Amino acid sequence: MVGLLFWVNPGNTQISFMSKQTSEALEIHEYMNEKNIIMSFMGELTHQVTTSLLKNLKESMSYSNVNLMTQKRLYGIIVECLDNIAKHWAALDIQKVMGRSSPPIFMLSKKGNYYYIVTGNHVSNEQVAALATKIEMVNSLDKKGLQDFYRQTLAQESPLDRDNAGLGIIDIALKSGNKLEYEFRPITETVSFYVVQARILI
Amino acid sequence: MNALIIEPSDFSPKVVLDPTKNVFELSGESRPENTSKFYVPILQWLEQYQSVLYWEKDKFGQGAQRTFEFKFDYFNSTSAKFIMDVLMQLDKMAQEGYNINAKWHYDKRDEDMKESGEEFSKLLKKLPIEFVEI
Repeated sequence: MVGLLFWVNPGNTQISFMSKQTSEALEIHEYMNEKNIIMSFMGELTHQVTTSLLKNLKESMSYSNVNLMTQKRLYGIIVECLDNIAKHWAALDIQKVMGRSSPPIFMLSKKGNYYYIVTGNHVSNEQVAALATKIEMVNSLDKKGLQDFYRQTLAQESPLDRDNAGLGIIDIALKSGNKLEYEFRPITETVSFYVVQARILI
Repeated sequence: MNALIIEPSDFSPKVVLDPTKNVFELSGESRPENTSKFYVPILQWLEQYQSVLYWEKDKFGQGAQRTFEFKFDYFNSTSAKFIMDVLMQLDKMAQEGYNINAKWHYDKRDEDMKESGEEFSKLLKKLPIEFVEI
């Protein structure tokens, strides 16, 4: 779950004493600062959680000097990424296959002239080939190709496929304007950790 | 026929389908928790409305122009499929000879919203879509 660490100083304890939790919080804080992580969340991405993350993002973006088009594209990429991991999360009973809970992670960072959006979640090895093919496919297309692919998918998709991520990844590629990067790292014989990174020029 | 009015939320658009006032509008942000649950009633309403138009035309002849306004700030890809269905339904009505048109509003700084509307319109046969910069 998301690390909410509270340090309560019980009256006469010396301030110089650092609990394990405090040093962990500081470590995470320093790490996030060092890596320019603007937002990071690990936990179950319910619609309610997603909505609150997005509201927060929208508000902080509105005070920034990033142009509206980039703000909207970044917002759109994040929505699709969060929707995607929520779908993968629902498709895999991680508790059952790994014997422990392991929620997905989402990170937004800023390095140089780019925003980086990274998600990580476990997927079943059976999903790997299809996911990789889809990403390779969108990575092979230019803007015009992506628009055509988007339109074809929009026209073809049957109502039964509604909840499958079809348009999502094309939409991410279109809004990002850059190739997507991804990796599947084998965790067990049946499960891999799937990381996708999209970036967008600020 | 009763109007269909849905108030907006942080993640679902405002819907006004009001034949009495001749106002038909979808506006705001669309990424509902359950997209199908949100859009199916809208599609069903439109189907019923088509029957009303048929009856009206039969009795009184061609009625007034009906303009469906789309004023989205943002919609996710799952919503896109349903917005396409809404447009397809309107296109069907236009093909059957009813006075239906659409207006696709977009922020002038948001070229993607304009392009999305253009992509949708390429898949339609008859429905006239006017693009309105705001």
